[in-house]
Amino acid sequence: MILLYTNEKLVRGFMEGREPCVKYIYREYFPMVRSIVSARNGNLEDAEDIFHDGLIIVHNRLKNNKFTLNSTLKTYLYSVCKNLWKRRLERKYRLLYAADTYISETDICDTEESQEEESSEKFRLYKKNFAQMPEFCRELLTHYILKTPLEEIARIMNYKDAEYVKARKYYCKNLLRKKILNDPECKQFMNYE
Amino acid sequence: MNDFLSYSHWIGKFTDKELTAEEENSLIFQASYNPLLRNELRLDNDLNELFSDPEVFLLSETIRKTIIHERNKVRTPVYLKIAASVIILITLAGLAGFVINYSNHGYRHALLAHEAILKSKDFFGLIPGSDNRVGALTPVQRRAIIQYGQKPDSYTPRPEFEFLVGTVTRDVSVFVISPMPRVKSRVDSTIYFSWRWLAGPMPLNLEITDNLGHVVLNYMQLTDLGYALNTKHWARGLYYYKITTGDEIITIGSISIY
Repeated sequence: MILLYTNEKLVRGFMEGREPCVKYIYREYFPMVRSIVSARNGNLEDAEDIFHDGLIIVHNRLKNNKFTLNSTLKTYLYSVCKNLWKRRLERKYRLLYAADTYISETDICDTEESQEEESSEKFRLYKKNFAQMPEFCRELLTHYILKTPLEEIARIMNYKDAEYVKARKYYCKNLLRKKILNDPECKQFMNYE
Repeated sequence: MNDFLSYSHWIGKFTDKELTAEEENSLIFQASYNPLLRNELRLDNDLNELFSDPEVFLLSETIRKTIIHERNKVRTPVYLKIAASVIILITLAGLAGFVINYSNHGYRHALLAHEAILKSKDFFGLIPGSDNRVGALTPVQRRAIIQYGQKPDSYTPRPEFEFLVGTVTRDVSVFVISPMPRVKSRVDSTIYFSWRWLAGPMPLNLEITDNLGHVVLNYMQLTDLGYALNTKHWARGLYYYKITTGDEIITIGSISIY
């Protein structure tokens, strides 16, 4: 079924996380993102990642009232995704060919935008690892993220009590951390030291 | 290493502030000289921050689900769609052809059966030389009719009947008064058939066929002196009538209804 949305309705639906709106955005705007990515040697997976991260960034910016959307969602998403892909390519290039190059303080001074972009990428990678967790862990942590009370989680998941839920939660979070730490893709964000 | 693992298990509690003061101090102390533990503490902090917004988490789930769903959708290439359309069209055309052929089958069957009758002596059997003179459709015409369903026009004369129109046979027991050999009549009019017996009453048969040879009316054993035929519901076209007594043809004529 093809639904036609006005820009306002689409933005509203997107902000509410409505699935039909997200699907519509995908069908209408993903080819555009794909062309941005493939124009610079990106593949389908890169395009999907950029699309995901771009949408998260747009959502966060709109939610935090960092800007008012004067143009259409499509135009804005286009510019966000284009910048995102450009920065990602630059970083990739730096990692591959210029690892030893001296980077001055001004170069590494992160702008708010780049921090946002990095956080959206982190978010996606962490979520990727999250998706690979055992089912009970995913369910439990999802309840935890959705701020469901522990007693309620115990009831839903048929656990003994809230204490047991807590113990399982620590176990699952520990498992997730270990997975992330062992993920080579996440290594770039693990340079805390 | 074992220490690290056990401290690693404390991280969750540390974030939730559920460690005792002693345990907390111990963890911080461990972290001060263990970079792995420090990394993990920071990662836990990151995770808590990133997953603190359920809205974003759910939106991300929706986006990911949509991407996977759309990616796994079977995308039919355009050329396959075109090929499928062509195949469907050909199939439909074939079906339509079959239906037309099937509907013509009765007609063709009648046509062939009719020709067979004409060629046998049942129809014109008592007319001398009729076998040689029956002008059936040419093979080309027949093929055209069978293959393309090209039916002759409803006014197209039928050669094998046409040359017999107006023929009065040698049977002199009945004298046909009307109609004339070639009758032209409007739809919804009456055509009178009348005759007189010369050698005593004798039942007559009246058969009317259309120009394709289909029998449209067949009255047997008429004992009256006439018959009024109303053409109210008749289709426009050329018909042939045949009056017979038992096994002998008295006369053959044509009726053109317009």
